[in-house]
Amino acid sequence: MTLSIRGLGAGYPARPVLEDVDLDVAGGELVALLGPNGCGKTTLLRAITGVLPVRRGTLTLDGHDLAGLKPGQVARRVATVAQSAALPQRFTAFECVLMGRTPHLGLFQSESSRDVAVVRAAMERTGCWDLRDRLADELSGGERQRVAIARALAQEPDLLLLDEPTSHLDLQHQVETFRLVLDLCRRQDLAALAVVHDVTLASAFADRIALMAGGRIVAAGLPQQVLREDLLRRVYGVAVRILAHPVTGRPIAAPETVQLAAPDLAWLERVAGPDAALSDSSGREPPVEESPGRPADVARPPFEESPGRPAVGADTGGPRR
Amino acid sequence: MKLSWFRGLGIALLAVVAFAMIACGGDNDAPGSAGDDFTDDPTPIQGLATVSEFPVEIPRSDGKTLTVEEPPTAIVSLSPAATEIIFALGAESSLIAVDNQADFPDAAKDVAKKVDAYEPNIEAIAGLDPDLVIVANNSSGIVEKLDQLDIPVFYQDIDQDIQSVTDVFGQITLLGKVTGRGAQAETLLNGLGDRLKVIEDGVQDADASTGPRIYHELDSTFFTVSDDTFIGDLYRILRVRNIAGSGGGSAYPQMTQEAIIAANPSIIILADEEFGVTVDSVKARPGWSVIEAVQTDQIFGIDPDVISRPGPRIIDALEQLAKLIYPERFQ
Amino acid sequence: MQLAPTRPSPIAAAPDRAPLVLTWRGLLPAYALAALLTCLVAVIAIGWGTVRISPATTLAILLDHLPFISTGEHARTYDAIVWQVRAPRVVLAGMVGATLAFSGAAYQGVFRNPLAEPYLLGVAAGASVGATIIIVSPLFVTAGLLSPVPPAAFAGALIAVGLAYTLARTGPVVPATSLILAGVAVSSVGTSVVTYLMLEYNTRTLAILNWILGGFNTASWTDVGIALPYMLLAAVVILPYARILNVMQLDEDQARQLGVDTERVKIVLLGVASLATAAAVAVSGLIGFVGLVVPHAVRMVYGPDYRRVLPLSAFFGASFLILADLIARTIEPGREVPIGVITALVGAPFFLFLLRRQQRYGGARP
Repeated sequence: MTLSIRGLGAGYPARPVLEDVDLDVAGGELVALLGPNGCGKTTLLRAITGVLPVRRGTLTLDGHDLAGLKPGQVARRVATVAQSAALPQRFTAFECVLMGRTPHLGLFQSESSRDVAVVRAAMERTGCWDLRDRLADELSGGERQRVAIARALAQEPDLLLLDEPTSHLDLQHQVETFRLVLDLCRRQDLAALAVVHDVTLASAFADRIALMAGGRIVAAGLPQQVLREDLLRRVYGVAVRILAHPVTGRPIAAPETVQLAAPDLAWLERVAGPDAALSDSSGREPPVEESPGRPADVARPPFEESPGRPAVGADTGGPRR
Repeated sequence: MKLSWFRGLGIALLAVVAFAMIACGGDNDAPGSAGDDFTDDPTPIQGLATVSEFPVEIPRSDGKTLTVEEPPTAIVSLSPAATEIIFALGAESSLIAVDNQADFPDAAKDVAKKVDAYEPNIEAIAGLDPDLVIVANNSSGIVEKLDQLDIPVFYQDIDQDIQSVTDVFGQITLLGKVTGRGAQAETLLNGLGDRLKVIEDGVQDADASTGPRIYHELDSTFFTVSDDTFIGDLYRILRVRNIAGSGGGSAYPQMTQEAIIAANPSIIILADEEFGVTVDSVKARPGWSVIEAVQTDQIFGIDPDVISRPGPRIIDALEQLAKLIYPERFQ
Repeated sequence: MQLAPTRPSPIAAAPDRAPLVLTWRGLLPAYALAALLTCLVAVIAIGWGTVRISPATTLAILLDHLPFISTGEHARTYDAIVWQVRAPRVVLAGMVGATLAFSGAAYQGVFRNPLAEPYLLGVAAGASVGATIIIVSPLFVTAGLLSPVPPAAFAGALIAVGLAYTLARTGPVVPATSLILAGVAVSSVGTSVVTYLMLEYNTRTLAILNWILGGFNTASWTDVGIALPYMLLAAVVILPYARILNVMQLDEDQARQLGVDTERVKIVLLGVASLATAAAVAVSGLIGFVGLVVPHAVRMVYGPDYRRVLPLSAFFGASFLILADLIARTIEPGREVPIGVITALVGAPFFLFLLRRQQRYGGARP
């Protein structure tokens, strides 16, 4: 069960957002997609689900060309959990999850007992079976997100796409959500690709991380391979300290200062060029080894040396498993 | 959404206008509450003989009084009926503008200046520098605007104050007075009165309770006239029963189809032939075959301009109706 | 009347029981009940009018017109009134009410907006322009089948919707917001054209107003026959999409990710609903309120599932307009009252009552 993206170009008529994207996501694996706002993360998800047409390259799931499928056929293989899954008013949680069966039903068909069984399993797995009679608009943010994930599971997909699934959740629910997703990946051999903004959260849960910038994937690999100070500074334009989690050893990103520096565009241009693809689907090789030359100096933050000033986010700690 | 609410409201308001408009057919006169008891005021309808004595004072429909010091020489008429009366009085030389519906007599069409009676343009009227403006409908507030400009207004509301043939005659008297043609008005009224008398005498022995039942159709959605209109008055004079009766308080009510069928009129008068209604189309209406007028072919068209304008031709209309309803009495 | 299946309360529910799933078959009794109610309302309305005709006579006359049944001789006047005047009038009012409410429900579903109504995309304005052009032209004939007014209104309505759709289209997609704005724009233009024509041809103003106001005073079996095919088409095409309309209540992206071809659903549903609405407007003029309020009221009482909302809107829309028309033709003996006045006068307070009730109970379903 592998999603395979090769040389993908996609976007909007007036603005080609994605250029030459290569990425693989295997079954049982959670890949986090990181990158600054506007770099094309959500566009990539929309291209995979077929909402945006593919302009160049190939998109295959287990060898099947996704781009050639009808929306209903795609929806039987690929499910999406949106940022803050807006659930329709006055429908119950159960009815919302039941909507996940849509791609498996014909126009005239009603849901069968098997559909109900699938929905029930999905809701039990995501721990929202007890919410089944509650109205969607009365659920809390965390509950809503679990219902949204249950609905995605009810689609019985091979690939789960999550678009910033935890951006509106508190720490507890962030952790719970990612634990749940990771657990689902492992147990159901799901491939999962999640757009995440919180670098540390991504590092804590993702098997691999793909870093996007300017419509391309500039690095992909294990968290400790991708989450490097120089790379993050170049992509986000902000100075970051990478610490190691005391227990898991995974990287923790701690911004050193709030002062911004512009992203290193000249460098991005070079590494993102056609002959400088750094993304390595296997993720074994640290991609930044290829990084050419030293970039132009980034202004050193003035407070860098001040010891009494703890880095923001350093004390939140990495989530434990 | 909100838009459609406003539209709905607008339509409802326009509908009210529509009810009133039916009264005047080609006239562009609009509303006013019909049924006001203006007959308490004796001035406009009394005394057929009038001597032209200036200054004259004429009560207006809005309770004010029009004072005219000397015969006007620059009249703007916004009422086709008034225009007809002025021509009949021979005072047409004082007309400088008429409304765009004025088409009788033919000479009325030749008056060079036309004013839109539906939405009268106050500037256009004032620009003509009239010494009298005749208004039969004040839905646009034209009377108040003319008052502000100190332009004399002859305002007799067509719905409020003209509900019978007597009222129509009163209009002729008033216009005679105001134009300084009282003698001509008297002559005209004597002629009309004689013709009216002939009809009244001719139907004297007719029994209204057993006589013909009439349905007067104003349009194809069954708007009709009640007794309390000058058209209804014609049928009263002819001693026929109008199936609409008092119209439930509405001067120009819309009847339900079943009420028409159940009333079983023996004569149907169509004042809506210009809207494409024909004798044959009436006969073809579903369910109408049981109506006596349909079975006995007593369906007749009448020129709506003749019958719906409260002017001298109202007696023409009366004579036409008399011949249609009593062919054996009037040849 | 309880059409909504009783839903186990969260507390009382056995922890293991799955909630009831709506199926077409499961909903059949509810539909049947609503249909029965509508028929009852229709028969009462046919038996009631300015002219008093006993229920027995009314029923006998109606049965007499059914095939293979003879109930003997009836007074010809009564027969004409019941069968030629009242029956087509009631049936047409029911059909128009059902169509407006059903189309309104579909519009609200597609636009995910409870304030959407079937006139949103310019059907009303387009039909008015079409009808008005004919009324002011020499072609104007009001006689039954020969009248070019209904076809012109129908064509005008479809042209307006087509125009709004074309204006809103950007590439392969038609964003809902653009569609609504384009509809508003087309409606405004249409209204201006009608107003202009009304003033320009002021001898015909009355005829135009009369058409726009609408009503069923001139209803005939011919009108029923003209409108029926479009209305049946709408029902047959839209009803199967009820479950999809539920999914459309998620946002458009989510619906697409669940495999719904949202663009196609939009075209099909709005197209067919507009077609039926155009037919309804062509035979009855513009009757407001029904398309907006009835589906909304149904949703407040029976919940948001379109498998309930669509059919029940049709039945209750039919009953509502039949009753409104009954009031319009009987409240003043022998006289008509404009039906739009009745629909607003009766509908608005009822709607407010439901709205307040819903607020009192929060978002919960009854």
